[in-house]
Amino acid sequence: MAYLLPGDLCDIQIFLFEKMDHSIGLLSDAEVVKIPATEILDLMDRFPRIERALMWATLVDEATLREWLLNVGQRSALQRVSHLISELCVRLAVVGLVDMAGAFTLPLTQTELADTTGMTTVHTNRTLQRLRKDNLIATGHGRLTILDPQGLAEIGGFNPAYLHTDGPPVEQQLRARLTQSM
Amino acid sequence: MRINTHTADNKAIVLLADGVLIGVLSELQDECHGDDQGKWAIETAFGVQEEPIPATFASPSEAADWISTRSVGVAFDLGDQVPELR
Repeated sequence: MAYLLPGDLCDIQIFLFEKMDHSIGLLSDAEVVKIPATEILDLMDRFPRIERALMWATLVDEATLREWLLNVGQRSALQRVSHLISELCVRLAVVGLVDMAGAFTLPLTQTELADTTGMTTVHTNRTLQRLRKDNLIATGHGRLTILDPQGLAEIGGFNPAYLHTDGPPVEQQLRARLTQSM
Repeated sequence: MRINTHTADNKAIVLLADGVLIGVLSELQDECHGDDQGKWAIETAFGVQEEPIPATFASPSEAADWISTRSVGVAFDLGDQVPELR
């Protein structure tokens, strides 16, 4: 399971599979761009830097999935929800969708949030209520505000390193890394 | 019995079938439940293979019945076990 946010790539090399093994749905209005497989293949063949950037994006998706596995498998209810909210805030901030007050639109129902965190809707409601009461978050009008980002991250054991928000390395950085590792 | 959910949901019923623990129910009293306020939920159920457990039940009897028919194969008579907590 994954949440795709504005600007995210999805299944960029899915054409390598004969059959799709999952589905994709929209939780809000969105502009979706479909790139033909031939275009992707052509881009990757002709531009190695673009190919590396696409590989980088897939690696970040995998890192995020690892965190989500850890979330549902090992973290408590409060940690799960705190971790997910912290992650969404960082990812949305990268594309400029978090305002100065730390608020962002979260078009999720409590049932969807419950499914994502592997909890019941009842317990998801309670967990959100606890975060609100402890002044860590505020909710209303389809928006969520993180009042205490550090506090929320601490509860969730959230370390944003896995999101690699600096983006893929430019040529110079990559060369420097390769030289270092030799 | 009281239950600690860190919310206003503090009323719980422990279900014992012939002395065997088969589940815990709670009343959704907190305002965070919106339209489900006043309904009942299964906190945990033992010996039940069926997933998912329905999110809410209109009454504790319905929730108790749901667990016991699946856990021990008989309907549960909650009788007057619903506690009045203040």
